Amino acid sequence: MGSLSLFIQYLISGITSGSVYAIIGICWSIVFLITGILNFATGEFAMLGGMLTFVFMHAGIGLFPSAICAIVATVLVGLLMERAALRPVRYPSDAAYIVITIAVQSIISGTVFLLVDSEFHAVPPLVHVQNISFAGATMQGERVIVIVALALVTVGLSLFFNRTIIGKALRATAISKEAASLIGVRTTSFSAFSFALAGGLGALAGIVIAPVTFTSYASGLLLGTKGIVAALVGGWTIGGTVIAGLALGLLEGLFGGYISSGWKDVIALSAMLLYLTIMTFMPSHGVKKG
Amino acid sequence: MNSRQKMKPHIGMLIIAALLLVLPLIVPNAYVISIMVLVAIFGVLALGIGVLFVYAGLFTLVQPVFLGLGAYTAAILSLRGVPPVISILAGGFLVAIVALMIGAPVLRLRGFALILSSFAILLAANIAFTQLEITGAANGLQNIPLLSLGSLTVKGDVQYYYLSWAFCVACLLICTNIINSRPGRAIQAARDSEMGAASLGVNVAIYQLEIFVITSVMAGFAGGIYCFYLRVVSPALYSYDLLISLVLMTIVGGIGRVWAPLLGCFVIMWLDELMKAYLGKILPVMTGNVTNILFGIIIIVLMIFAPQGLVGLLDEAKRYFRSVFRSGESA
Amino acid sequence: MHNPILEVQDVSKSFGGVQAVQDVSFSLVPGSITSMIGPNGAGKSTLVNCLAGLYAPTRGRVFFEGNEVTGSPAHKIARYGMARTFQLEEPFPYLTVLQNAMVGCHTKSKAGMFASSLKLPWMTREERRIADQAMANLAVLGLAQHAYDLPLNLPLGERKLVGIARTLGMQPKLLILDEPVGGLATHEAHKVVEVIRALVSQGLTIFIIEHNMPFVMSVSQRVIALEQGRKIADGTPEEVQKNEDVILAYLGKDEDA
Repeated sequence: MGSLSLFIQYLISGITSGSVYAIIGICWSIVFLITGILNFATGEFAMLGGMLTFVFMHAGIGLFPSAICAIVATVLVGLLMERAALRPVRYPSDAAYIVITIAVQSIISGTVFLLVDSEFHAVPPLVHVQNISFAGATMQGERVIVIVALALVTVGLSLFFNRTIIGKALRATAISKEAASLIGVRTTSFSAFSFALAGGLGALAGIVIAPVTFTSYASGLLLGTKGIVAALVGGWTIGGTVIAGLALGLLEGLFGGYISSGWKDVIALSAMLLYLTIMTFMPSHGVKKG
Repeated sequence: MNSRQKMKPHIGMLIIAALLLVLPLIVPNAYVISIMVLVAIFGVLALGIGVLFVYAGLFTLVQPVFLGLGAYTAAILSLRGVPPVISILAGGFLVAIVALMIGAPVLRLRGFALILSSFAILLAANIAFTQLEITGAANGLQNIPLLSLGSLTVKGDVQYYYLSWAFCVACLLICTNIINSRPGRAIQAARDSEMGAASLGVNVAIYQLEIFVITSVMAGFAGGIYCFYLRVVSPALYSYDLLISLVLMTIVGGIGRVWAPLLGCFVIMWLDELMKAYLGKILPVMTGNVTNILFGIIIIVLMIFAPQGLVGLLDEAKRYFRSVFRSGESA
Repeated sequence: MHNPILEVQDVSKSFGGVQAVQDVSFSLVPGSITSMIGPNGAGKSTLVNCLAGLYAPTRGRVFFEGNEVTGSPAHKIARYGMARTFQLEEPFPYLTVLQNAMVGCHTKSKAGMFASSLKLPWMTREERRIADQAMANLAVLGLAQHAYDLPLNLPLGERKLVGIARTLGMQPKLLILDEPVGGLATHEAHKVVEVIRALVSQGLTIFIIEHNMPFVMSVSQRVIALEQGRKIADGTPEEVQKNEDVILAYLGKDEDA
């Protein structure tokens, strides 16, 4: 393969993974903006999407129904998590919620390990799309689906948040929980809704990426981490997260291809550290502490 | 934390110390002793997390990184012929430098930025350990020489038991002394109100950095002991799973005493062993992933119902009984 | 006036587009009691934070006993001898009252992590000295009997006194009190007045930020009035009370004592 085709190939794989990071980042954002909670189990939603689809297919159900069941099941997991693990907390604090979501993350991946197995599994792509070739590089059909999924999610969410009443109410809650509850918005059901939405979208992301990278019980951690990097750097907005996610994916794809694929995960981690450090040290109002 | 209670050794402490001292004699079971060695080693880490979070208000998750760094340094050096004791010291020294470099920027972060950063550092360190040649990549390093100083060698579970517990108790004493003194008060003041502490002359950044480096170096030395005890280092030992266990130990131990995380460590390590022994018979596989399920559930239950942990509950129970029997002492 | 203990020159502070303090200048005479008044949002607390090192002024300079402290961090300014209490901050809630006071002695003691971890003899001697000093400071404020209580078990008035007791450990030369009687009952406010007079008689300079006009009139030798970040009056309590700009600023303000 010529060097241009190689380059394009890396770009393609980068955009593919970047799209998934973007969707997962959006899941982090939705929950964070509406509830103020950083959900460390977000990555597991993606893992569940892929793994559950595999499990249901293995049980004899067709691909599409399996995918639907997987999404529904993950949504239920999200709701359960919010209702049973987060809402009952009597002394709420950032640290408490984070510890709990980390615990949920362990529970989910451990349960999948226990009930399924520790292997990697392939899941067929949802729709059969022809491979596209250009400049000597091939974009497999399943990668196209991922990018399409991102586009659909982005457009769908924008319409939802901007055009529907529920969406606008959710945005109001995101801006100020107190103000929202004052005008009658039921913030607890919105909490639940945000977890359900994150669960569904996360599962979708997992289902579309599974044909490309395979899936296993342990996939959640890294996916989730890259998602938060995208959300963080993207400023928690949908557009920002999409751009950040794609950028991250691209950087990873190029770095992984040209330099070392073992180290490529470090890019996301370093990006996060760099971003957090810079944000803290940016001069803001001359306040010296905190 | 009441300065009226002078630091006279509590009768309970003396009993526990005595028990620890004679344990290998009363229970000459190699398995039990070996678990207790691990309790001491991981206890030092849990102690560090507890001190940083409860007394300094810093929620960082980087202890496993320093355990690993100390262990790997000791392993790499001793495999190249450096005397084991020097290797451990070098490990501690390296940890001190890295902790300083990481701590200076990272400790200024607040709230979730601090947690996310320490999370990122943890994952990055694990990748580094797994990728680098010098650390043996995914397989780690084996056949680490014996821990020896001149003609003295530390061999066998019992000797490591006394070594690790001596170290653990030393760390506990150091932490307790610090907390109950001027820097300890300064740190606690900074935890409650940075502005308030600063206006009283406390250089918050320096104190937080100091306590961070101290607890990190303790973890580094614990890593050194760990590496010579196992005679093997591998990335799997210093991973995210360890973090879950440590968090659990700290929560179970609770707040209220500096030694609370050690209690938590003891409870959790033995719970882990019990689970492996009994559940291992019914379930097809029993690895860290599966025990994490139970650990995760325990964490959630505790955070919801008893975030003050065992020691906190004990304190509450004591207060309750005191009020019931009206001994006349104030809280 | 002979050497002022505090000299504030054209201090300004803005946050983004908001000008909180603008070109404020004044000096404080050692041993005096000065109050700063102004409606909410006048910039009083912002100014204090600029003096005490929590903010760096956008413009202007601050001198303490002739040394320039503009932009120095709070903990360094504390070492110079400038102490301040907070309007809203409470004593450290998980330390006893005595321990709170002992934190105040931080600048006059030396034990660091090393000496403390090993419990060196000189460190234990210093600890005893700090505890005695802190106890004495509590006694000055009538808090000795609460030494081993947690601040949250005390009423607001005593909590504010704990805040003042803490600062005594610094052996300050200038004590800035931010709303010391806000929310206090009359007898508690009287206690604060007693304490202020006692401290001044020991040579401290006091600078008070307050809303409570009767209190300000009864205790101050001099009053500075701030409005929308600017100084609008500076003189004796009677002069300032009659100042038209001040009256306007307080639009319909309460009757004087």
